[in-house]
Amino acid sequence: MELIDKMFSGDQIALARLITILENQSQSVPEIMKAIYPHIGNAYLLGITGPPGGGKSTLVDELTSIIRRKGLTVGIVAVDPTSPFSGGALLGDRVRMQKHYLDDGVFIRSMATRGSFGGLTNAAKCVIRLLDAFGKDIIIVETVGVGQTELDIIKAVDTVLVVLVPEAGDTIQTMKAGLMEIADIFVVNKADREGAKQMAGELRTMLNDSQKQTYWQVPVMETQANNGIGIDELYAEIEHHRDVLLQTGNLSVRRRRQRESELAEIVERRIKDKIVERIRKEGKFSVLVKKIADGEIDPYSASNEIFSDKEVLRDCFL
Amino acid sequence: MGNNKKIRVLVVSDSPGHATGYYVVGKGLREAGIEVILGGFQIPPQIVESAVQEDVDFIGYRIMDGAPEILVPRLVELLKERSIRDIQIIVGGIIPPPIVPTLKGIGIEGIFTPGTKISDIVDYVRSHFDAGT
Ligand SMILES: Nc1nc2c(ncn2[C@@H]2O[C@H](COP(=O)(O)OP(=O)(O)O)[C@@H](O)[C@H]2O)c(=O)[nH]1
Ligand SMILES: [Mg+2]
Repeated sequence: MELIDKMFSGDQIALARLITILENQSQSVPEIMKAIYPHIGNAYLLGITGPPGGGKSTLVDELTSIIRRKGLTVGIVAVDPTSPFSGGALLGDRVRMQKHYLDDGVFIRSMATRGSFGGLTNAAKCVIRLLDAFGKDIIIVETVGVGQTELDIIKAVDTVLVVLVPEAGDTIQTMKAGLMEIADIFVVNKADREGAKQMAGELRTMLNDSQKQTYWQVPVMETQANNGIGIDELYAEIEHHRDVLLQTGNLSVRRRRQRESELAEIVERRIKDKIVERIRKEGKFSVLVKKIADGEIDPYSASNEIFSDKEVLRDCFL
Repeated sequence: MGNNKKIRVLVVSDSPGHATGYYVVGKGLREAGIEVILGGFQIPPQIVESAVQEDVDFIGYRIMDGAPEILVPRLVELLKERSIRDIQIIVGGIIPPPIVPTLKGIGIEGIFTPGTKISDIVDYVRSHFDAGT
């Protein structure tokens, strides 16, 4: 594919076009992924998640400045939700990253979740790979984290930052359990606000009670992203986490898990597509669907029938 | 899989103020199923980079304080310099009537002055969208 060659030669227009192709989940996705896969694995992947309005994009902007000062290049993938009613989206992350518009060491791409229920979509994962292959040193992925669907960011990046803010009525107790578990580093942003110290304190207490890994104690950082306060310290912690992952061999464990879930998802999706296709056609599947609809059999027993029928299995999986 | 292409529009403004107007347009486009990338206040070279990276179909350029007769031709020229032919420019905001022919002369068809209904902009975008690219 000509676009791929151009992309490898550093052409940003080609890179952007390829992203669009991945984003549209068009038929050439496998071809692109095959071509770029030998070139991935060099970038460090940083995920930033948390509730909307917490200052994630502002933090990305500040972190990017630090990374650029160190002479490294940055790719940013900012995912925001698609409106379930219209299918449209208002993507407002880039507007916080204006400092970097003319820096060709920074590539920013806004993505909507489209058909997905939120979080890190399959398309976004493909785009991370592409930016990696393009040669970006650090890839920052911003997603909105409010519920369970967003937690898959942990399966796709090396370090996860969870950004929280002290808001009235928002206590650690009401925080989504999942967000608690996925953080490698907690950021209490808007530390200029009342309640920030208290929130950070509560978090630390809670983390002390439930240390999840022996090799890493999750730190709680206080920042004021819009004033650039606490960002150097935050970046130092990110580097520290990366170093610990490297030294303990856990970076390769994480990367292996990323590949595992990537493969599992691709296989799952293909099988699912085939099953849906079969169900819609006439045949054993549709007979079962009719039986379920008529109340003759429940879906669990029906699935047992499918799994015990070699012919159906072959039809679905081969 | 078919064609999952969505219309993508970058909206930018020529001045740091007047944010509400462009936000209203952004929301209107979103309600019409369009993906809108907010670019904020940008000068033409920045607009080009943003439009390239976001691979948008349209740039919605809102001009409130400025000199459309300078800014818009500059943007057109910069896009040409980078051999970008498939990004269309729509202009909105305060465009003095004598300037309109100048803009039309450099290929700008979508010019929307205050009072325009959002649905007119939506119709324009839909009918000029090239699904092939
Ligand atoms: N008071 C205060 N406001 C902040 C801080 N960081 C970001 N903001 C503001 O919070 C708003 C949302 O920021 P944004 O980065 O878009 O949040 P996101 O939705 O999490 O990406 C913006 O108006 C920022 O200027 C902070 O440390 N303190
Ligand atoms: Mg954001």
